[in-house]
Amino acid sequence: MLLEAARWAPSAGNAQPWEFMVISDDEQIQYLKTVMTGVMGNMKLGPVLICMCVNRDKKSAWTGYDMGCALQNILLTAHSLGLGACAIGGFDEQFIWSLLGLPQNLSPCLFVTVGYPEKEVPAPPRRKLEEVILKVEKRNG
Amino acid sequence: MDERKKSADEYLFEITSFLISSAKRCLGPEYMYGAGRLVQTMNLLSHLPEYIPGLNGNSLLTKASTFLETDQHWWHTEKLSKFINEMSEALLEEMKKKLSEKSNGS
Repeated sequence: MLLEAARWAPSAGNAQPWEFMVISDDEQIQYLKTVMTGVMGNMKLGPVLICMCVNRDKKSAWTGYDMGCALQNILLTAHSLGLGACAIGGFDEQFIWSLLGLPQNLSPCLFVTVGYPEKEVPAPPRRKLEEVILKVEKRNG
Repeated sequence: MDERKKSADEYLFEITSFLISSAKRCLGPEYMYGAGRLVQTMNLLSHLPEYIPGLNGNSLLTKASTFLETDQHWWHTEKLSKFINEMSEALLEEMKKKLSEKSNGS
């Protein structure tokens, strides 16, 4: 269901540059956790890890936006299902590519850890709406 | 994720891979002190089996220890970068080997 939502994400030129690998092997997740420098503090990984890959044959100048949209679909769908999910972007791409045995044309772009949350976590603070909106004054005459 | 109880050596391997991957993110002239400290930590950990009975250590930590003890200029940017990249390759091979052993049921 998460990946179904991801594949319906908007994509520039309908390039759909994404491909996904679902990892559920405990030991593999444990190894990935230790080498992903983006796993900070006491962050726990869920029982499932989704590796979002870019298919370089379908890459465009807007691939970053496409992958971000697919990620957002995964996160929102996970939230709607009562799942906890978090994106992880800090890792050695070449190392991960080799460890997972990914095909030549795929590059790991993001990981998403998915599981059932132990507790509800309050949302982090956000900048106020008036801080992020630029006002254009109406000119007189 | 429910984690089964690890052995001391599995836990040491986890720390080792954490240190190597962190050191690789500290390459470059401005960040080398961070990478150097992480390699020094590996050297310290390589001596842990002398203090903890039953702990065997691992080949990656031994490699770090040998590197530090055989070259007094190990912290030079070029040498350290080369070494950390070699360690990262060795870690990758070790992880692949362990995962393959597990999938073969050995």
